[in-house]
Amino acid sequence: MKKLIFIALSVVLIPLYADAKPEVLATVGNLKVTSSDLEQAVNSSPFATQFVTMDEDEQASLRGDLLQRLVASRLLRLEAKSLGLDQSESFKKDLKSFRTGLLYKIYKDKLRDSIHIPEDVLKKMKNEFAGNSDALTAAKSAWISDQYRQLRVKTIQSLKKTYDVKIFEDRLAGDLKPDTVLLTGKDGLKITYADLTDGVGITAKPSEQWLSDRLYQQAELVLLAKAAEDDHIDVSEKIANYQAERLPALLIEKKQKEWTSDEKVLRDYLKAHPKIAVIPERRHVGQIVLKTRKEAEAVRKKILAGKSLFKLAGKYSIDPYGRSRNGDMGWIKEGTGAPVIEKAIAKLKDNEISEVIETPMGFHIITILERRPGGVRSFEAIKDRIRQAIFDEKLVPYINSLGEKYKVVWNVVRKQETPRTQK
Amino acid sequence: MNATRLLAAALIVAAISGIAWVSYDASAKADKKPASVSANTSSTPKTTTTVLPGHTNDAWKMKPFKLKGLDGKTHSLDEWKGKVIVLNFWASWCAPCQYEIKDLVRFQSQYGDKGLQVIGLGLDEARKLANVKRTLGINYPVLVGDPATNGDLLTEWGNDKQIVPYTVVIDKEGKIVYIHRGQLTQETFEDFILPLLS
Repeated sequence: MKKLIFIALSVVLIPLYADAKPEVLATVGNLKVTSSDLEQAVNSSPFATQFVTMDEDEQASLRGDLLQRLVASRLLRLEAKSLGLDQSESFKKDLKSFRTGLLYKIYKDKLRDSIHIPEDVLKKMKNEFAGNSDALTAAKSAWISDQYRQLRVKTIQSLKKTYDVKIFEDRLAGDLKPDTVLLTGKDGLKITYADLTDGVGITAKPSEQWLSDRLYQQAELVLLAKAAEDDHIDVSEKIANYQAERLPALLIEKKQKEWTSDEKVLRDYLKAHPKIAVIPERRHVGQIVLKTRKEAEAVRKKILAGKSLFKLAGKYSIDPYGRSRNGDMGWIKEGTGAPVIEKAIAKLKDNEISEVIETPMGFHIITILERRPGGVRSFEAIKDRIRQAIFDEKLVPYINSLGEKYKVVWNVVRKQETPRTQK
Repeated sequence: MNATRLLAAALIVAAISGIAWVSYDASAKADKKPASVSANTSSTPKTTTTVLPGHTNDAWKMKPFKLKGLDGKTHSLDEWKGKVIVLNFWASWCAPCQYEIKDLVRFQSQYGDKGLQVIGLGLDEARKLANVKRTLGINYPVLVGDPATNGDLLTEWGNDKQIVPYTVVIDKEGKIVYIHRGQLTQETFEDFILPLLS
């Protein structure tokens, strides 16, 4: 049995002002997590809108949770680097194509941003759509899009001249090898057949039309990226961010393979945790809850005499959810109710009325309308679930071991420590 | 786990983008006369694009309302008579409202001493509104409007579709000079509100 300590962090942050220096919340080896990293993580999370409406303590514990994730991601990044994952050929290729795509996008954005709506046109639009900002925005974008289309064509034509680009479209009809050159230009600009087909998942030779379209797409990509590069557009920070995001993911993929690709490991796990394959019985439950045993016994008598449990539940059940649904509790999985209830209804026949069952909530009378039998899933059917379970079990100790290896220093107050044991 | 529930809720909220529509209280408006868009004569005052059901563009001739503020006191709009009032209807779950509030806070601190008074009218639970006020540092009064009972109020102010964010601009004389649906932009502020302050 291994003992793990989960630390619940709570981070109260003073709102950052533009000129304030961000506070370092944790250091991981030589990497830092600052308060602005954390705020950025909050703002880009799927619960960003919700976060603003939360109470202070909820916000603090959510920040604590995110901070732990940021620390874990830095640990994984350090380990990925130390394992040389950033030096692999496939990663280098990946980075290169990310860089080209990024430069292309920035250049396109720059082109679009260079378009300005003339004063008189803008004034006309504003008059026409006053008070309707959506319509105004749409009118503006339509005008800009139109101008942009023309500008883009002109730019590509002029770049073709600048870089002395030659496209060999006729070669698409012939015998194509990965190194068949389809485009050349100044400064080593080149597109080969492999550039068109790599990473697209092609098995047979694609049609000439597809290849031609793809060639012109690639040509535009390469040309605009090249132009961006010659304009000294700096993408080093964005590349570094991409690397920082990708490396932890690569390491996780690697670990996942290591931990869960051996069939025997999966089977052994199933043997040790047979419950993972069990499908619980599902029961369609009807219920009425009353305040006192006396009332409950009286109601039970009425039901046995022919009154509807559901009608009575709709009137008298003290459980608001049940009352609002006339006692129909829906389909409930075996093992999810209070133990006394589970015990009492396990042997209940369909449509039979239970004895009065006492829980801290009140006095329950239950009936089961219908059952869907449970069962056991086959190994093949739950392989993925086993993989996930093994991964979840191994990840926390793995991250903890990295924490020891690279030294994590927390600069936040740990409000509560909740030790938990895990088998 | 709490965080999972939260995430699910957040994803639903994230699905709402652009203008968020409030869809409560549709039945309560059955007895309302529809605002006539064609009424464009001088006898029916109009704002930029909206004819208010009260057929006036004088804020002080409209049916006054009293609402509790987050400060715990009851307020009515005429407390701010003489200022350029930016009455901003919003809700805590509405992301565009949150973006807009950051700008409104900036406008208020920049132009407050020139007579600008932003008033937030939050259509939501006071607790959530107060959390937003604290988190985003709202520096202007926020009134609490229960969405279940204030459908009529919205209609009176021209918002029968119950859109948030929704902003009504009232000049120093009380004239409703501009109504904006959706997120207020810097450009709209400069075009329609800034000139009223000089």
